[in-house]
Amino acid sequence: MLQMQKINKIYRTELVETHALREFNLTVKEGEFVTVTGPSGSGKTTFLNIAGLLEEISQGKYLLDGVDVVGLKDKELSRLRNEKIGFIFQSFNLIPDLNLFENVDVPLRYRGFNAKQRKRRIEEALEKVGLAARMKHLPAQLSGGQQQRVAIARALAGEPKFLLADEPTGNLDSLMARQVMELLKDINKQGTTIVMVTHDPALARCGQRNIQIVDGQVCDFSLYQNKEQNQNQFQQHPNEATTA
Amino acid sequence: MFEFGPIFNAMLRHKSHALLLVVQIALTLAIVANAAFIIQNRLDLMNRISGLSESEVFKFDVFTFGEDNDISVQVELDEKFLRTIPGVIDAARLNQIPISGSSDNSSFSDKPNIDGSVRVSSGVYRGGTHTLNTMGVKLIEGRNFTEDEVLSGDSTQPVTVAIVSKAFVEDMFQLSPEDIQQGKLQQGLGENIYSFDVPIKIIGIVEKLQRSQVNVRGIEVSIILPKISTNKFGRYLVRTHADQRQKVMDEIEKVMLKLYPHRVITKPVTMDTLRADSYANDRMMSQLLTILIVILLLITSLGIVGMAVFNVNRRTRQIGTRRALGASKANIVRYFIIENWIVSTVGIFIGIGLSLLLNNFLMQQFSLPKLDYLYIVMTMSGVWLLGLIAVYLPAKKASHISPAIATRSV
Amino acid sequence: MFKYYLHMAWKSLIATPVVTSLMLLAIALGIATCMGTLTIHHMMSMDPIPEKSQQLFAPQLKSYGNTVTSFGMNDGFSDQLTHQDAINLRHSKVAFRQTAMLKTGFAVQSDNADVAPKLKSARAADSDFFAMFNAPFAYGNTWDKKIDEQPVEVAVIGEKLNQELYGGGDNVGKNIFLNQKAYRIVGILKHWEPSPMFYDLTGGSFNRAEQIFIPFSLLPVHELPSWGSNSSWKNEDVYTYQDKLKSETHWIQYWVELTDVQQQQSYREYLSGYINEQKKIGRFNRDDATADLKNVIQWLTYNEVVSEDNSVLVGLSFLLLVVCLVNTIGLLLAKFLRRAPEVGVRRALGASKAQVFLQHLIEVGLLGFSGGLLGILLAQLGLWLLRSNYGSYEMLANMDMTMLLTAPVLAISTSIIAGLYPAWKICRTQPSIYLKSQ
Repeated sequence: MLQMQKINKIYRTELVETHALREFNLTVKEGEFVTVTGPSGSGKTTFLNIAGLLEEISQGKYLLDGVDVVGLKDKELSRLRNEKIGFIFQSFNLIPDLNLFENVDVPLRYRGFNAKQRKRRIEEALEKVGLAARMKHLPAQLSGGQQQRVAIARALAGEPKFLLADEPTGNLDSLMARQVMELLKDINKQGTTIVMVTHDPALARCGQRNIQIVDGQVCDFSLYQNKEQNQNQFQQHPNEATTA
Repeated sequence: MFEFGPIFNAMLRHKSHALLLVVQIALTLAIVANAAFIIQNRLDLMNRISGLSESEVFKFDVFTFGEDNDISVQVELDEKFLRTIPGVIDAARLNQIPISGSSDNSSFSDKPNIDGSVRVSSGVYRGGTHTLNTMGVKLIEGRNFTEDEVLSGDSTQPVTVAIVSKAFVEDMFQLSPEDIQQGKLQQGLGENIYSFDVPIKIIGIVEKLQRSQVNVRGIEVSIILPKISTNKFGRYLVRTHADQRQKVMDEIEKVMLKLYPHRVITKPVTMDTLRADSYANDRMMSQLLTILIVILLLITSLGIVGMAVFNVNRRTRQIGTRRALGASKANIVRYFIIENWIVSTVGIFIGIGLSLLLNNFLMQQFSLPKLDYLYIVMTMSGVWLLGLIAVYLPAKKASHISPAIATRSV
Repeated sequence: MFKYYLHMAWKSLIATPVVTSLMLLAIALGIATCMGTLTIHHMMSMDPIPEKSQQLFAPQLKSYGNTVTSFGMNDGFSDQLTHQDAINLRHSKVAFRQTAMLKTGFAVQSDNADVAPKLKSARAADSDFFAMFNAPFAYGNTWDKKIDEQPVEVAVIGEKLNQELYGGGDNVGKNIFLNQKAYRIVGILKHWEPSPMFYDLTGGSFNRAEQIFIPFSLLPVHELPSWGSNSSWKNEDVYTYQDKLKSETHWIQYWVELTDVQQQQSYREYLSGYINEQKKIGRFNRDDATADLKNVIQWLTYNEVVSEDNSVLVGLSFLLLVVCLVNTIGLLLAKFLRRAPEVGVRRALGASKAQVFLQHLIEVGLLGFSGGLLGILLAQLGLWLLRSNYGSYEMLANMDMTMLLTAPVLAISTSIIAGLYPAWKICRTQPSIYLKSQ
């Protein structure tokens, strides 16, 4: 599903060059649930942006579902994002001016489905996350967990092959976080490939495989595993958000 | 319509912003349509043709204060001399000059008795046989005056013949454009018209000759009487070859004073100058209205740009999200353009109503004509286009927002 | 506290330089447009002689014959009199002061015969003219009242001509040559330019006052030609100047000064008596032959001194100001609402609604004040352009003190009105909404 080879990502400012990713290699198979962890500043977000085609790479090769994405034009990248990738963001990123129905509708519009298809998919997706009854509500009228469920519905509605989740529970309390994780596991079971970025080792264990990024490179998994688990016992759930 | 529904719904949730822009666009349309219409009216007025060969003629005035001068003799000398100046085609002493402002008008009727007669108010030119050629007006029927027909200014004899303008004939004999096409114009030839009860025979018809006042009804209704004025204050019209006009104008004061010194020769002026002076108010009105339109459009585009910039800033995150969800740059630009288009269109349609209301008000309060709908249509298209141009840059800026913004935490 | 608000307003304005300049420019342009058109309107409709405008009257007579259907102005009165009517009215002693007038002109020379004569307009009037219209003398005085009956070549000249011909100073007693005839200067006026030039509107409302005044009684002596409007309704043989003096041509302006209502009443009665008298000798043979008296203000309105164009411009520029207002409301609303989170914090820290409201209004007021000042500058620029391109607007396109004060008041009140809704909206925001994370 995802093949990254020797990817380099360099941010240049006037004064410094920052190597966010260096010689980065990663392969994710279809149907896998991979979690990505790493300390802050390690390059997690850069990996996520590159994997999600939100940023271009400086060097290297990236195949998404067999398509070489290097050098594609904005229009083609947009189409790939729209068709193949479903995004779940830490801060939900629902559009405040649109109600739930319209929010889920956004990627479908760009896909070019007709009205009937869109309506069916939106209703199905909202049904799946248990919010079909609140279709006409605005995001501000929902709790954080509900908002994230809408975001998941929006990601699913286009039936992407590949779901990219960025700290999906970062802004949620533990109960809601658990619900969201269960939902993701279900989705994975139905065959959708999931890559989830998190800094929470407990969540990292939800996936079939965990990858550590340190200093812009994939780290040897086994080296760090024990240490991580030990740490985990002292760590509280990383939860800053209040309930809505 | 692509995305029309959600955009509209999203706008409804920020009603006051959209509404303010709608009001602004509607008012702009109403003001611009009416102002543009007034401007065009004034331009039309200013561009009316005088009938004279304007690029070849100039005028100057003579005021004689010497007591030892027989003006009727002097006029003849002056005219003769002027015609001998190299470059001069012809010259004539006249009582008034077209579009110069100062005027001599009189009423004429088609019957000697007042009851039941058609009365026509006309500009009255008085001059000799050289009048037509000096003006450069085109004689389309009949003939010019003969020397015997021309009376001196101090003569107590009444004039008996006249050359009139086509518009004079049309008004006096109430001819329609169809009548003119059927050649009925020449029926006016040889007819008598009456100044009070004095009969005057029409011997010639000129195609076009404007009066000296420009703000009168029937500006082309004029008559030329064969009489040379001999007042102390008199006007001369001189026709030259166009390329030699300036040279002749430059030396006119000197040569005229050489002929007889005890008089004042005013600065010679061209028809362009007379036109500019006579239409100064109309010119100023149209210039001021143009400035008003420019300022208004500037303000409204600033408003559109300002709102768009704010919208882009306010929606930075949502634009990034849209991009992440698969919107191309073109989709983002289109979003803002459609949004602006909706606002413009609503504004424009309200604006049509306002334009008509404003015009109605102007018609009632002032002597303004009814608005030509063409101006609404033209302004509509203009405002539409302006909206598109104004929103394009902010929209372009929005499309450059990186989709990666969506992964940034708040 | 006010200083603190002012400080915050300033910081807020410079924080968003682009939007602030957009708003500033919109307000300034709107104010400048309004001030420009309003200034001209103000000058056009100014009372040229406020201390006397209710006491000076132009008498009108419906003197034309019953064979004529229409003559003169829209109401059937002419704006001038015939020479014989003017002479007859001059004989009455009812009015406090009175003058007949004619605009004429001469080839003018000083006592230096070497300088070529210049063509200049002049006014033939009676000795009361200067006192009636409050024309101030720098030197000398008007001519003796006897000269109004027994013509003598005397002249009063204006300040500008005195400067031009003699280089200024007291030149009373010197001669001025009009058409090569010597006129003794008896008086020199101080600067005097009534605008509108109400006493004779026939040649345009905003001409400058003449610089030469001579006795009206000289008309028949020197056969002074009319440099103004001459209109006649009657078929008469007018070959000589004497013919014209006796004719029914309307070409003389006439003004009377009537100090109180009683005098005005007496004058009205005198005029209707005069009409009856004339009817007996065969003139004024219309059934509706009447007289009218109009004071200066009525006279200006009657002659439509404020041009229709200017009224249209004033109207349209105020509509333009409304557009600016709406524009500013929109931008302010957007700007203020973006600041809602900050306001939320302020509210949580104890700012009352009223304080938030005031803070924002002060910001708007500051914006309006700056916009107003910029607007005055722009308006001055515009008026300067107008003056340099259109000579006839030289006197009109000038801001007087009233106008200079109107501009900032208009600007501030406009922007405060614009700011009311956005400020009200922002002060009503619930602090709690913005304290929660997204």
